Amino acid sequence: MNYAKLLAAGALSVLAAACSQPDTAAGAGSEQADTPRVVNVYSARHYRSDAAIYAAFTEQTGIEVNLIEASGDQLIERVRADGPRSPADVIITVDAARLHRAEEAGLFAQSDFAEFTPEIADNLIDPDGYWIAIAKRARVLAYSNQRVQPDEVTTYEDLADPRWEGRICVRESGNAYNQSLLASMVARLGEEEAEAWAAGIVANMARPPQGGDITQIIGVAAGDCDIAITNHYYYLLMQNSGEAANRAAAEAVTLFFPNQETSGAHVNISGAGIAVNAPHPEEARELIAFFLSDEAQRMFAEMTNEIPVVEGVEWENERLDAVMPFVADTRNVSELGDHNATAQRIFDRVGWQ
Amino acid sequence: MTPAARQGGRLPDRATALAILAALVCAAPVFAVAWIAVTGETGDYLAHLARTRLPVYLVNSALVAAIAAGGAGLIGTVLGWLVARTEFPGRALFSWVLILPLAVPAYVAAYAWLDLSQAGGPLHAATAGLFPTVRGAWGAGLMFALVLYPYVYLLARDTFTGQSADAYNAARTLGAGPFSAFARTSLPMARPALAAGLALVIMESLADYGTVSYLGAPTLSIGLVRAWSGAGSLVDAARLSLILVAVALIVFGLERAQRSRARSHAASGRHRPAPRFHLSRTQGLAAALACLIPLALGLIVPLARLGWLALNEQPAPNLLPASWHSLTLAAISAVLAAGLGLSTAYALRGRTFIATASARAAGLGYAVPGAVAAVGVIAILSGTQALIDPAWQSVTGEVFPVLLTGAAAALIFAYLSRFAAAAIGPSEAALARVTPALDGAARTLGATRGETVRRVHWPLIAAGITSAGLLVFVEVLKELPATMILRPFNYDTLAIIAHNYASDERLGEAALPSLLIPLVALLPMIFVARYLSRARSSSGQV
Amino acid sequence: MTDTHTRRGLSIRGAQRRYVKETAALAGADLDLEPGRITALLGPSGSGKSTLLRAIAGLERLDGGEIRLGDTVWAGPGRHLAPERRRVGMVFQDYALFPHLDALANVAFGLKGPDARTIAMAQLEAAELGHKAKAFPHELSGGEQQRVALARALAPAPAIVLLDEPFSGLDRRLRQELRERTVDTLRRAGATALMVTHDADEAMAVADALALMDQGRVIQTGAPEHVWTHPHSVTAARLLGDIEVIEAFIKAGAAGTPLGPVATPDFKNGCTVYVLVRPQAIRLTPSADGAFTVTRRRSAGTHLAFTIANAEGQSFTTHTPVPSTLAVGDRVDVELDEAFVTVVGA
Repeated sequence: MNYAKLLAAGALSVLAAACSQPDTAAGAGSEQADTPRVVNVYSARHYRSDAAIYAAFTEQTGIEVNLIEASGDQLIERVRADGPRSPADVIITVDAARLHRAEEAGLFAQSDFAEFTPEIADNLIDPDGYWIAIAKRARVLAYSNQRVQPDEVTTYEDLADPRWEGRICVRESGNAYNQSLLASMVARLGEEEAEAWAAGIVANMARPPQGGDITQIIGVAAGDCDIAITNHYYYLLMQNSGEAANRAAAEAVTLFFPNQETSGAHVNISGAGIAVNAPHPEEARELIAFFLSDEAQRMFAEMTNEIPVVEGVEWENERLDAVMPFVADTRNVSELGDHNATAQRIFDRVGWQ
Repeated sequence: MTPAARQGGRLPDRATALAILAALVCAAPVFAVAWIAVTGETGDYLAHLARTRLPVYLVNSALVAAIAAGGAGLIGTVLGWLVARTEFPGRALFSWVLILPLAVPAYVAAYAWLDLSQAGGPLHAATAGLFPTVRGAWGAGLMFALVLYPYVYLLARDTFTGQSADAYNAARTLGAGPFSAFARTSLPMARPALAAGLALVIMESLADYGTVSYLGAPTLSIGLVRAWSGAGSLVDAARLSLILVAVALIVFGLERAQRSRARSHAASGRHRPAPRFHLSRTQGLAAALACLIPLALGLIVPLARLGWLALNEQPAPNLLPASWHSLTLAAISAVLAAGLGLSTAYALRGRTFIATASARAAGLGYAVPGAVAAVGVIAILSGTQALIDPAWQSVTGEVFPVLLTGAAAALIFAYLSRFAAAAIGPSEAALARVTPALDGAARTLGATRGETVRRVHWPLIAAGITSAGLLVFVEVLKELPATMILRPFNYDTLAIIAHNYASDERLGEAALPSLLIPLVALLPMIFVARYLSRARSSSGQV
Repeated sequence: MTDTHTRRGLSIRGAQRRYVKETAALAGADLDLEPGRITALLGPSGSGKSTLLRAIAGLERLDGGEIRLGDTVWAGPGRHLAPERRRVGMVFQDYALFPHLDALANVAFGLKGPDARTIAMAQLEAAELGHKAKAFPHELSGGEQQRVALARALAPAPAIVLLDEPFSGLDRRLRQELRERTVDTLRRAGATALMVTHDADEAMAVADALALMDQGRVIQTGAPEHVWTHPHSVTAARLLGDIEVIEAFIKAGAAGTPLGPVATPDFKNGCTVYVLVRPQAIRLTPSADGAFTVTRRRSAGTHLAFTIANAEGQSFTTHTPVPSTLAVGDRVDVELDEAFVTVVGA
């Protein structure tokens, strides 16, 4: 009967699949000359353009990249659960808090990252040497050209002012970038003032949070609100979008880096570290070194509109040029992780959905 | 006392024991989550939550679930009845096409609809702002109703097809008009199947994260993710997910308690296949329209919008291997799940406590949000690894070669654990139609147990079991969190690619993988539809 | 109890019903149901009995013809009264009890108003099932289910009661018992009833009036004994029991058969006719030079069935009341009792 055969086929396939794992935990054997070199990457980045970066790495070094992409928390869970048998060599996150968590969970090995490149700001490296930033993103403001005067917009703190009532669009509080932004406010201003700020933002929201950052920018362009909080690269993406409506929305909106006179714009990082039980630590170091090379840094700037962490890198990206340079927050990004839990509680208390 | 009840005191035989074991294995990840919840360190985050957001989460969860269940129940029941009992233009095609919206991940529909209806979106502009923005609890509930109604539809259709027409006709002769007769006979008799479908709808909408997060409906699953991701406490997330599990248990417990001694199928076991009502021309067109509307809203509009956006973007690379991965994972899981559902349904017939308990426990995996369920799976696998490694080492002196979490089999395990409910419920409903009298007849005629299953039961329950397999197939195609974390290296599925783009708000690039998911789902649907119509005609059913 | 003022008869004229792929299920059926009488509708499978029943109930539409209760047209050209508007009670072949309701709720289903449960309970008591009021259909035996189904159909005091093979699927003793009960119940209710069956004995035992149906038409109606002894056609005759059909040629006012001549006053000389002979018509007397020999002897309880054959090899079945001393091999003379013989045209 068909079903019996199907079942048998199914069982066989399962067996086959189960037994066919790529050689990820080659262990001591990986150094042999006839075995291709590999590096196992657990990445929370989900940009398809990263494939080009890995390809360039493989071309340069001959090291094959085995990749798993998942959310930062999930990756942390998996590496933790696998323990000493974990095949992870490099762990990459898209925000500082996850990096901090991975460090707290003891997933990283200590490395001397400073020797990879001197041209990187101190606040972008873990003071204890567990991780290093590979790309930056700024969380800034986008305001309506029509309804907002340029001199109206100054700082993050100012957004809590009642004169912005009903004029702010921002996404849900669960988003990692909002959490880091609030964490940075906690670090700078203390919990009480940060909570007051968050409450002010909630009072000034034009509509309950919905959608992502691009949704907020579109909301500003459409008149639902006058100013939005967004990561810088979404704006640049919309300027270059194949979709005419997105381009038009970007036209109607100006990107603004706040706190230029005070603490600097809030910056988050995509960072990487070497796993403490890495089966291929040498290859892991090479990959991270590659991320920090001019070539990769340039690709970050040109493909995902991220901001390179290495100074002096040249890139070809007009739109990114248009918003650079800017004054960035110089506090060490590890503080963003320290205060994330506090930020979450503040969000809960003020009812930022 | 019915023969089935008389069996209640016996110890389960081998086959039943295997089925119970399988069910328990599927339930293991939920137990793992419960273990984490119970044994983790106590913090004060939950107390803090209770003071702040917990009421909002609970209210929104209830709202979303109610709207989803109401919408899906209405659409699924009405369309299921129309397709099963009437004749109208296009009925044969609609019969299986109506299942397709299930293959649209709810968050894809949400992204598309928000994009269309937001301020600045085309619908908003075209209607001068009159078209409401799809958002909040209402928006999320609506999205779930539109993409999850096939659960109810499938079960309603199968049950209405099998219902004897005579009960409805008897009601007519006793003075009930068409609607009244339907409401007082056909509907109550379909209740177990409808309840099974609604249970799936409610659980999936409660466990969802992507849709409610994007549309801004703060449900319990959002609170759960915030506890983990924001407050950094996986233990509290596990505790919150236990609330969801408790809700699932209560809902099902209530439903079952209400059912009492009443049955849903005729006592005599004989049934006359119901001849279809031929609807008049206008009625027929109205019926076809009724079928078209949910399809349009849940399937055609979102995918068309994405397709439109895709015109301006590059097609995503690597879709072919991803499609293959999606297809094979889904097919294997579907077959295994159908087997699991069938064997569990049989085990349930014996009405032993342990069989019932294991089956319910296995079904709970569905109520837990995928990300947390994946953690449960990881915990089980790593726990098993921790047991095997030293044992293997001491016996063979070598390291155990397989890393359990890295094998594709781990994914299958995760899927079965999560989607057991989608297989067991429909199988149970299908098997309920096989009366003990049929068993007795077959056995006295010399058929062994296996033969009885094959020759007597199977033709009657084929539709239900195949539906169960189909449901799991589609679920696995759409599945995201477990797939993301448990997949082997360099292994993408369509759902993952679609999600990666969509969550980055690159809807145009998300279009093609999103479109491919229902397309891939079409394959088994056509196969199943053909197989079932052959089975039905050969067994003499209309 | 059926109200006296609704004791109107049902009349069916020229009922036609055609299905898409098949030949006509009803090809012009005529039937009258007298008020307060039980009519049995007898016919082979596929004769259209169930279709006619469902048409009366309103569960099928007619393609032609008319059904009327007294002066009220239930079905006719351009008119189809919905089932719930006709006052019909129906007992289905598999009883169609609502599995999700208990016996009392089943019986009360068609009743409205505050007294519904009381009336229903009374019906159940009358059927001696009061103690099973809370039982669900799957908890009742086959016979109990049938009685509940009948009680349910009668509870709303319908004008017409329709029964579709209501005793099939039960064992013989139960059938008989149930049959008697059902007839009793119907008579007490003064119901006008139409019962469909394919069992001739059952039809004759139950009916005040018998209607025979074949190929979508009612081919004969009348009192059971009369229809049995005087069938109008070969088909009608076969429907009601064993019959010997002899083709014969009329000469000199009589049809010649191997069993003897049969007077045929209604037919012209030179016609070909069928002589329909019930086995009971053939009287056997032992005779040393009888034309027939007994070739078989079977006991049927109430009678003996002898098969007789003549020299030409023609054989016939006969029924002889017990006791009889005839044995296989005996030679017999044959005489026809014309009370059990009918002649019909070819």
